[in-house]
Amino acid sequence: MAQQSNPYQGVNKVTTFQPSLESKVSPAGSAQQTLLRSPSLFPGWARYVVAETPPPIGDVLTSNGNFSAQSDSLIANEKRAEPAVNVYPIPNLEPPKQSFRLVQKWRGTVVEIRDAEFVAELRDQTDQSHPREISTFRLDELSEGDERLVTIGAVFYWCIGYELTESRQRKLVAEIIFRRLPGWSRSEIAAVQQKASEIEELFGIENSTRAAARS
Amino acid sequence: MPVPNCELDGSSIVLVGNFNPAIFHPSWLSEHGMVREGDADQADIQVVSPEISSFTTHWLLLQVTRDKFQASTSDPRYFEPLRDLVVSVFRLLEHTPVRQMGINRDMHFASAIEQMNLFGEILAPKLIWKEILENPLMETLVMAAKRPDSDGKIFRVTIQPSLRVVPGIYVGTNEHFELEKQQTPHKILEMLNRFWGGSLEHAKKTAEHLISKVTR
Repeated sequence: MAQQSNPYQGVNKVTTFQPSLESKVSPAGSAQQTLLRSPSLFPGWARYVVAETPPPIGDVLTSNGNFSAQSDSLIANEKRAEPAVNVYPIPNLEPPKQSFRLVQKWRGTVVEIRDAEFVAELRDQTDQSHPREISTFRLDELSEGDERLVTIGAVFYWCIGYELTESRQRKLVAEIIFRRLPGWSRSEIAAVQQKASEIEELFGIENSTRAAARS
Repeated sequence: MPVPNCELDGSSIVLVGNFNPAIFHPSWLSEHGMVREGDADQADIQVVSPEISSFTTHWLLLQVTRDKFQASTSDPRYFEPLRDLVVSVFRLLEHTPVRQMGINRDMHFASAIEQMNLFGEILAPKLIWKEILENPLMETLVMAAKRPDSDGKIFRVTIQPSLRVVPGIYVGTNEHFELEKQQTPHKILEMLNRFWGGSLEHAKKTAEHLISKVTR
């Protein structure tokens, strides 16, 4: 029987979340799952091992940024990870202190600002077949400091869901989160101008960037 | 059987390149308007040094070493802010050399032991294993594929029993993007903006598709 070749052989794995053996830079509340060989937690699926390339033998980062030697990797025939400095977050096996289960989410765009409120056009992100809606929000519904982000055209997300608090109490919560993006960088502006010039050249139009510079 | 709830849903963006960890401090992020001042003030800083920076705010975990940048959240309200934060950081640090990117999603579904066993049996039937092994159990399954209509090199799906939601099923995805050579973040950010939404959506669809096999 002909052997099937693996099309992903050699594809680098480094952007996969890597398992940890050592680091104490704990991803508190993180949803990422990093597994170690461990005793059975529940009967059905017994022990767990790491899913990805194990950390290299040798130097790994510890909590205070110093290096310490690791004795052995968990899977002997796996390709060694690069022996460079890497972040190996430790597995956090505690249930997260709090979590949020999203029920509904809208993407809003501010279309009008009044004294103590603003009007926004909403698009349902949970079910995109829903028509656009218009809604009014009071400024005092916003988190402190977010009022200054309310400008015409500003984009925000309105999320409704169940929050499980540290005391394991479930609450229905609605939150408005405004997008925070800086202005365009010089290289991005240059790239856009370059693209515009190419399109203008294609259609035989005068180069608007050069024309603007002349005026 | 009841449809399991996704009790814990997280996402992370990992970049590989050359970074200056010392610059990544909560106050630097708030100074540039990338996080709220309140978030920065309340941040829990584990370490900020030339070798490694690591801190958490109420929704963000940021870890940076000289060759890796990783931003994660376990709060689905903040998936878009997470992407925006990465875009903002590297719009500012526009000369940082970057060569690889991973878009990851981690989902933990509450389940029951019987449902988990059935799920394991569907994904990795035990019949041939039982011919040679006693009581074989599936621990980890990793499927590597390519996501349709994506420039990602590989879309990897990992199934494990959840260690965070017990009993529960963990479905993790990783979409890996690579540039031919290390370059400024412009190209990677363009990919992030183009493929991030599709990648997370596909992760959810994949998990729901798989989980539905034991709930129908």
